[in-house]
Amino acid sequence: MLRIENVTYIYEDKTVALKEVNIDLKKGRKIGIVGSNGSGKSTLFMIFLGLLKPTKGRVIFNEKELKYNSKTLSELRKKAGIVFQDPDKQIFFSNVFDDVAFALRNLKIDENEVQKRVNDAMEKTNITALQNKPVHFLSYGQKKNVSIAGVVAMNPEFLFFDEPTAGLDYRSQENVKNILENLADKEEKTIVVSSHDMNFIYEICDYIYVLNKGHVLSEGKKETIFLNKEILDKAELEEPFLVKAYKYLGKKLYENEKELFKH
Amino acid sequence: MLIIDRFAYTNKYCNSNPYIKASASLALIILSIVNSNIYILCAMIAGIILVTIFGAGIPSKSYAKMIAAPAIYLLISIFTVMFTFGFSKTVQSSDFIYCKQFQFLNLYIGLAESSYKEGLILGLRASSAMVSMYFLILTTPCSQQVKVMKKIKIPTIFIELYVLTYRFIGIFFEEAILIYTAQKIRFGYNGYKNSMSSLAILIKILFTRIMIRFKDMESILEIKHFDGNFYVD
Repeated sequence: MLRIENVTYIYEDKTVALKEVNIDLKKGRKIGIVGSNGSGKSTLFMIFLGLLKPTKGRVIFNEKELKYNSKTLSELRKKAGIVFQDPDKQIFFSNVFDDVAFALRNLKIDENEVQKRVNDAMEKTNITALQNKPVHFLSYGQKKNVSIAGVVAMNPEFLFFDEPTAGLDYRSQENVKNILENLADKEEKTIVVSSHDMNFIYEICDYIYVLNKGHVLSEGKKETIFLNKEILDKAELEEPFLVKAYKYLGKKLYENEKELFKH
Repeated sequence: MLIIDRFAYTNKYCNSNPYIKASASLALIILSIVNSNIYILCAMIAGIILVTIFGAGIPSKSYAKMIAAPAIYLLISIFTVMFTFGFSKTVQSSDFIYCKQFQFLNLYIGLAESSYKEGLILGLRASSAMVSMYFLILTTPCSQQVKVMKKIKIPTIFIELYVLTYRFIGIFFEEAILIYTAQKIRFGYNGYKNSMSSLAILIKILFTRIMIRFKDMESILEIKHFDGNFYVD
């Protein structure tokens, strides 16, 4: 339902951010976009959300080429939400509840429904206790949850997460991981996660796109991608810990760390 | 975030009815403008300051600093109202008599009774309106202010401008402080020459950074279906 075809994006200063990129979000429920810094991950997300218009190529939404008028874009953004890397940029109001409700109220949804959806979203992201707090008293991890709640409250089909664990401590990372897994497994949303934390991507995602210098180096199921050291080296990425354990320590290829230590 | 914003969320009146807070402040401001009795004005100023510090629990040190900024402007303006400058010893107009006169080089500086009274009332009036306004913004968070403005049917375009400006002042200070700290830890403000060049760079970078932040904010507002209206319950 949402894909991009042959997308090239060139910034005003002639930097080529993306080159002939094809990505189809139907290929997995939990899609990982991996690549080193500056490989074009963030630009890619901006293209998916219609914030940037591709220099060449097209975005296909609902089997139609995306038109950049406010009506179509509004439709797109009801179906697709994004959590940016820096929560400070994403949070607009200084009060948690008002901020989570911001988009819903802009869509003029009935206030009772807004209350319900905001409470629901806050529960899913574990921030119910913070709802009346001013944003500037929250920790970075808590702010991250608030920015996720703001998107979850919209109940989109596609959720984009740009570096969701960057700068978070261990507990907050686990929390974000749980939120993402619940969204994908229980609520059957499609999540698209960009990161250069290979362990995180390995545990969370099922289908991987490897980006390198603006083009898709490779794509495939996570096992095929992560077992191919050549691709990872070319993209300047690390092998996930569990893959290392499998390859060099002769362990079985486990899905996550817990399973490894259980055996 | 702005320090004013922080107090707005932490003061003891934060959760009180915003309509009462707003109408009380507005009434006080109007009363300051209409009234010209010095004693009443003094009592009002003292009362409002006491309520702000002890009632709302705003730390007196921060409060004094916040008052000091506009107070300096006020003092300068009052000074020019109260004193008259001239080259002759007497003034033409008969009802304008100097009660005190100083000579400075060949300049006569006079303090007439009428202007002295006028200046005093003007100063007190302005101070009283100022502390009332501070009371409002220190006790009422932005979202509550919007609520009140909507209730009294202030045009949406004004509310939009108000909230965006408010948000942007926060962003402006955030960025300025970040740049300033980055410069300071690398000795950018050691000595007069360094300080001047650092300040110039700060201003230059601030403009570009603010533009970037503006674009970010635009994206966020767009993604969140912002249509120029702030809907607060």
